[in-house]
Amino acid sequence: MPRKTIRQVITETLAAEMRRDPTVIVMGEDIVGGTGSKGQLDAWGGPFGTTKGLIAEFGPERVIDTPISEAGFIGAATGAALTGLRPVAELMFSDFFGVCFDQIYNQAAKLRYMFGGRAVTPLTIRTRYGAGTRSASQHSQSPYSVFTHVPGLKVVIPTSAYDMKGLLTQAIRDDDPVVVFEHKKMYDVEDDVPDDSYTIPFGEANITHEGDDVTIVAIGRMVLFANEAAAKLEREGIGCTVVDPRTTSPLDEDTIIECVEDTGRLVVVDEANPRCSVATDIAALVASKAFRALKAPIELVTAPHTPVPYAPDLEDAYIPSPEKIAAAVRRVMEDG
Amino acid sequence: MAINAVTIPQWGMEMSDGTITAWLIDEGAMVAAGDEIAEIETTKIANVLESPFSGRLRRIVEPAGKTVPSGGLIGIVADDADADSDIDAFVAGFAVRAAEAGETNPETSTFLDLGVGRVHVVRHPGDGPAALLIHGFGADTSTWMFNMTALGAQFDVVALDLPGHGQSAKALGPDPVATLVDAVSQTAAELGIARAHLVGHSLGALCAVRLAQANPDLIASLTLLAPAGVGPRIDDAFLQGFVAAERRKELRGVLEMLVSDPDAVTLKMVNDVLRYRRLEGVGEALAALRAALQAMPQDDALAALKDIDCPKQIVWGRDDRVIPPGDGADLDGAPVHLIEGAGHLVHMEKAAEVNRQIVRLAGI
Repeated sequence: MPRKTIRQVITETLAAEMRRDPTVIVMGEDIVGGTGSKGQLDAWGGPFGTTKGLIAEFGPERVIDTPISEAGFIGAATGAALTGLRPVAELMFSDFFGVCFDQIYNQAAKLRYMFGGRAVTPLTIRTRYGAGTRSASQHSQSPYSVFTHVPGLKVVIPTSAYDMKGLLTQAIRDDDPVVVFEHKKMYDVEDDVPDDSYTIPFGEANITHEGDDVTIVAIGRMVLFANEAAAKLEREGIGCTVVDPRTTSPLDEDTIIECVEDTGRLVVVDEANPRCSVATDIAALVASKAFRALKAPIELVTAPHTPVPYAPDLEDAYIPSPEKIAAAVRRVMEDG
Repeated sequence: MAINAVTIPQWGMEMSDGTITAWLIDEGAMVAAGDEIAEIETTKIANVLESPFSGRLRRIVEPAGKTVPSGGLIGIVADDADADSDIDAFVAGFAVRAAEAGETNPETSTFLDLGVGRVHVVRHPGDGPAALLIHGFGADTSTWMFNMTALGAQFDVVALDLPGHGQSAKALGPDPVATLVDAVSQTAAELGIARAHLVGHSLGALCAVRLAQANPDLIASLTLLAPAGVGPRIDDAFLQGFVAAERRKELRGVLEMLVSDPDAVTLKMVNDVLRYRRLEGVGEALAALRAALQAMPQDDALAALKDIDCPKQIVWGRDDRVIPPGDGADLDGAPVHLIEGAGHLVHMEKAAEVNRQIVRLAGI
């Protein structure tokens, strides 16, 4: 089975879907040229090299470098989706959602509902999240909970190259607006990925580690850290089941509840700020639907309620670590 | 003097390490080559390690619970005459010598463009006669992970992903079982194999019988593992569940039907089936195969078996719930070997015993 990085898989999936369906287009800032390229075509393939090579095969009609105006091109993508295309728009950093949120929140997410089901909005927004790149507080956030809050949006956070291909393919083929979050530190994460096409249904959690004592539900990059902690704890004799929801909207509530019913303990790990977050949402779900299965209070391992710091030492301390996850697991073990 | 290294084997291409779940003999005990000495868990399924050497287990280098890379040293079998200091030196120098030798897995993975479409082939090249391995419903070449290396010592081993399976093309055409049989014969022809020992599991055994019937000159011997088409049908609860089970727990229950010991089903096995089922075209292929199996007479292959004139045998796990074995009586001239403690995946659960039967029948 071929090994591929998340970066490779994104380019491969975009190209495969563009070949399969002539209505698929990609658009965004710098996705053809790239910052500092003096107008040269296909210089970088965007700041993280995920669209490199597409312009050569599909041309400027289907691979569109947009002006630096999120309000403009996300709005244009929404309109294009409403009128028969299947656009994949790249919002370079999810931190920039503030300037185009009306287009996403009040338009794309509402259209099918407001037209009584007679309109569809097959829009995919690819965007980036996550701290750890020394990019300061305006380029390091993880605001997926904001999108998860909005009815009508689907929210996808792939954590492996295999999942990226199946979930991005599903996102592009889906008739509703889907926001796909890519972690900036994970583009070189490798996995066995089939060359053949496949989709992973939304709302189907993955289980990446199995154990009897504690359920760890982790979001995005934190799944990798949770697996690391689970492997370490296994050697200490503590068994962890790690659940990767893969999509926060829809959320696979059944798998989370089933796992908590099996283990009786829950740790939720999220790189985002803790208030009104995916972590608190999952904790509330378990507290309301599986309270009697719990042997100990739910532990949350999250970033603090502050902006992402620029100082490297502070940024490192800000992000949950495998050590912090392991410590939380030991606490719920001691607690009941 | 003979200081022999017991190492974690390389079972299949995907295996990178194994966890010693138990040592089955104590340090200091005598062992004969072929004795079961340890249980090794891979990410896919657990297996028993047989001692490749006779002598005394002088040293357990890695205790139960440890995970060790394939090729890593876990124990020493040596004569009593060997001094402890020599064994210490052997252990100390082992990693360095292994790195210098740079031994790699001889298995190769290739794709053939055949009449039936793209076919994925895994080959363990060897000097012996060819052995062709044909997997069952929903499986792929990785089902032979405990057989390829062992058989590779005696045979030139070729396994393929049947159409609709693994990394091969997924379209099966109007007669799905005939397409599978064509894939095997086209693979043999493309690789220049004029004569081969055929090993088929379950649906693959049915294919092997049909191939032997159509092309008797190709077949040197025929080993049918838990075969379909010689009596009981493949349990449709299994086929249906394998195709359709939606929740992970439900699918795990279906896969547990395959083995004698349900704990043998690992998370990776469940996830691998989910991954396979998501591939484009797989749903249609499996549904077509299931329909074809239901439509054919349940002893479709039995009459043909009678007319096949080559050494032949049937190997069945006593606890097979997917295709329950009979009482062990010969089936139309083919002796039936019932293996205790094995279910439908008899070649995985009791790999060493099955490997021995294959070699014995081939007369090597």
